[in-house]
Amino acid sequence: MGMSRIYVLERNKLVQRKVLRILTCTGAEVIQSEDPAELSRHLDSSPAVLCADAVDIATVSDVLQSHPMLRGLVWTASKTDPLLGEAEHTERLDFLLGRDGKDAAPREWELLYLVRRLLGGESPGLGALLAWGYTGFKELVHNPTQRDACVEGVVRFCQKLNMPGRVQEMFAELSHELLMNAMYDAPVDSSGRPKYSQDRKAQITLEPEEAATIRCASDGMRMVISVSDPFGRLPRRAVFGGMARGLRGGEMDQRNGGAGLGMMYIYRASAIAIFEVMPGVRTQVTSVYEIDTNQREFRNLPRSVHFFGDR
Amino acid sequence: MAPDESPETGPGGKLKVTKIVEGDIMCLRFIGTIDEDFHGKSIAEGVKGTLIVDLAEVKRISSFGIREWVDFIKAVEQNTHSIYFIECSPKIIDQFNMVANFGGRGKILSFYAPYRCDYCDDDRRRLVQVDESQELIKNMSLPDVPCDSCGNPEYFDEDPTSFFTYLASQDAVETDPAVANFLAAKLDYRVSDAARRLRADKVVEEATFIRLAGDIDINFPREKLSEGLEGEVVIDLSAVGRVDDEGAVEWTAFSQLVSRECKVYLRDCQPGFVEKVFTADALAGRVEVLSFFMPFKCPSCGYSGAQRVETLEHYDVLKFATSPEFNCPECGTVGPSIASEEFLATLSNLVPPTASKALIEFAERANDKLLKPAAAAQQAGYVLPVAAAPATGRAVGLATVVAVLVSLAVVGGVGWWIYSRLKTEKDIIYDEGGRIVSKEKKPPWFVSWEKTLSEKKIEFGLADELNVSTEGGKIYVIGYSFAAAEREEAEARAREAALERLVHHLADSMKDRLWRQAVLEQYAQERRRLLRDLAAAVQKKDGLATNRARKVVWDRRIAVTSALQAGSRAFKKPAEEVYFQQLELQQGSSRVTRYRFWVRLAVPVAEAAKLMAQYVEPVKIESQKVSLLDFFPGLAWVYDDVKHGAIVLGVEDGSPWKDSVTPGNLLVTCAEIPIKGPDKFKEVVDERIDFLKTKGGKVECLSKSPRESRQVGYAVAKVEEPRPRVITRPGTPGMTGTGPSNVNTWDDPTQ
Repeated sequence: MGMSRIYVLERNKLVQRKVLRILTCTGAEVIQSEDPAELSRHLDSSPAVLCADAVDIATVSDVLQSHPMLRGLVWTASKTDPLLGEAEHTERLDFLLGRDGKDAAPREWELLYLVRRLLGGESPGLGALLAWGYTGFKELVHNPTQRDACVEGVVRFCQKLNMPGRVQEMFAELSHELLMNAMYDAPVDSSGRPKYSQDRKAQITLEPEEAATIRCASDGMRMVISVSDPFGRLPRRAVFGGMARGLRGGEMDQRNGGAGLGMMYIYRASAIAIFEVMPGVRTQVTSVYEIDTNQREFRNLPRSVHFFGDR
Repeated sequence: MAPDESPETGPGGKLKVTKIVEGDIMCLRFIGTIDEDFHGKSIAEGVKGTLIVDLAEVKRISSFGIREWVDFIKAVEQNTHSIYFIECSPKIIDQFNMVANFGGRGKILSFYAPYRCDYCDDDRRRLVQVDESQELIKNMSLPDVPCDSCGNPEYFDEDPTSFFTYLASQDAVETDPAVANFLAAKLDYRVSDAARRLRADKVVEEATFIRLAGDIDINFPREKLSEGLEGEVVIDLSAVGRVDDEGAVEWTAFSQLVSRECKVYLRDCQPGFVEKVFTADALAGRVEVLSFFMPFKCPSCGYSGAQRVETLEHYDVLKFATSPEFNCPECGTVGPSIASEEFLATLSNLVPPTASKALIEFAERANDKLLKPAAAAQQAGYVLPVAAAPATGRAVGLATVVAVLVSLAVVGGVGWWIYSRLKTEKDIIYDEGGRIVSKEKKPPWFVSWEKTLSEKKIEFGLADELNVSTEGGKIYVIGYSFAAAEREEAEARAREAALERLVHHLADSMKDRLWRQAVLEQYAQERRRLLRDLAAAVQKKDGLATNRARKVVWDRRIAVTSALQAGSRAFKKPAEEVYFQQLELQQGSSRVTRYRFWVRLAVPVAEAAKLMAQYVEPVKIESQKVSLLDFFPGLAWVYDDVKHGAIVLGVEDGSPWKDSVTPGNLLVTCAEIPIKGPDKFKEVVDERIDFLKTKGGKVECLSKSPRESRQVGYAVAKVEEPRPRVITRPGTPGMTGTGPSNVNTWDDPTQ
């Protein structure tokens, strides 16, 4: 049975009105509430999406635990950092949306994109994240030489867009980080054993069917970098847990997948980070950046982190 | 090895690590990307003593690179007693904030703050010295600064709370003097004055041992240091940083003074000292050199450091001004010093030292005695305060005395020389000291000026009081430039400074009270303020403020001289003498050339009087009942966009300007026509009044004062043309025209 219902828990009427209008455009039944107690009366066991302000994170956590068919989506006008820990420990709280201020709704295209996909839509590709008419490039990466060339390609792409040097370097680091994960951490042999993760300094050559794919595109206002691998092995805990660990100062924790520094890089370099995992088929990590944001604003910008996947 | 790899480059060629070693101190400079190709542990091998890590050019760092980096830091911590990070790029500051233990127990001495000018859409970075910016760091706030290109404010482009997290938590940093000397002497980094002040520690036993640490400059306390010296004296110079020209002169005087009473042996002289001081004069008499250092770079592995030379051991080679061969301490390759020809030439002044074995052993013991407390303190995790003298055994600390003397000298003046050593951002041209490579002989007037500057300890900015003298019916003025990259620019700046000084001298010589009020007092205070600002910025060692203040002073001087040349009918180019210095200095890895100029003008008093006559004789405009003066060039200090005008000297009762202008106001335009002097004012205003009489209106002039700019003037009534008036007489209503019953009469104002 597919999802066809959206619950909205939002106390701010300004935000509520706008969110309801956007969500109505998904074609789903939208049930709104300003009071957690009232929300509980509406909930049933059918698959649905629960959208709420982060101020009600405790209610969202409780409701997600007691309703296994619900997927959680929370928006925040403050720093997203504390929500990462909540997401790590709350199953199905997979979508954290940053927004401009307390009276601002989340970005309409982002909200629509997420809910449409939750209601059963396929991944619409990078085009959905950019204005029509965007430009970009796509490369397959098999070895470190190609990786480095792609990283420099990203820098050149940023230079063409006249982006500040610091942002260029940030994207260079981000693309390098994403490609390293796709090339060294993702590949496994037929018995599921990691092939290359033991030595990240090794000069490897991926088989054609193992190759990582990088896409980089922009419409002049937003920049998107996406890297995918054909393995689909990125666990949910590595995403939210990794970021949370990274924020705690990069303490080394090998049991749970390293220090989280890699995830931290992705988190810090993205206005919106989207992780899509189809086990055994594909992992795709997409970073969206709003080009006109200066670094000072960007540091304090509430980030969005989304995880599509089963694990 | 890939073709583009230098010996210091990692396997991927993305990171270059260069090494500079001097005794116990090593500097590693990282350039490029720290990622999986960075082999932290292998680079850490061989690092010991004090490590300085230069991170200015780290562009990227990956998460795996961070792991390698943390391993590198863990490894070097085991073998070093101090780690300092200098010129950390914003990227690196991010890592300090994000990653626990990124810097181990190392201290950040300086970092680059990212700045942005939205108007130019440009990102820049500005170097911040931690010890000088503790308040700003604790308050987590860096001020806006004017953009170098457009002048609009550019802002600190980071979230201060995030950016300063680590820096604000770092304990106050005091740089070990030896490290400060290394930074200043070997890397040409700016370090605080406190860290560079000369200190002297003395051990008196069977002979006297003095250990000097810091810079040798004009403040060198030669008399204090020579007091009470007798017998054999060994002076250790291993911790001496920069030696400038004036320091070299002071040193020569000191050695000549001391060698009258004592036999002096110099040991471990640094290359900078050798270059400046190994002259025949300084080594004359009873001064001998036991050992010194020569610069060395291994042609094979790239190791860079100074090599110690025992004079006696190598004398047969040195006397021919040639370098001994050295073994590279890293790879063993044999090669000569990379010392310059000038350096090698100085070696021919050496004589074979005659020190006894017992004296050399005493010097070793005394040196150990002085160094041990410092080393122990460093092992314990703290640094000896710069001015604190260790008192062990018979070690007598002169440090406090010297520090007081030096600080008095610094506070009291000689700011110009301090300024000449200032350096903050590499891209900005400062007077950075450096080595004089020009062979120009100092002319007597320059020597005398320099001597007086030193003796009177006149502060920079106020030093211009010294720059004027009158002798033999001539006025002499001296102007000097800061170091500039272009020779022509330096010369032009010096000439402008001299001309401006002449202008101000002439103004200040005027006795007329009204003139002084209307002209001199309008700008003199501002002139003094700007020069004081510059002096204060120099003394505070605020590089950015110095640069800004210097630019303002420069701009105003240019404006003054331009106004002089544009406006004065009596201006004749004075005779001049020029002296210049060509300087070579190290900036990062490259050598740069700078020029400093001094221009001395000689103006006959009669010529000066003729020049001033144009400006001091008022023109009385009878019709307006005002007295005006020609625009005086000195006013460009307060009106940098004006080169002409008429200065109001007096306004008589009954003047139409009585209510709108006051003495000192500068009338610049009238009806948008420029007023080039009092005569032009009269001409323009008279024409304007004639015109306004036909229709009425206001005579308006743009009047400026240092504080405001406004339109002033007065109304001119329309003067009616005499016209015929029709008088209709009673009893003849309805009659028109000029018939016999109507009389046309003209208005008669007397009726």
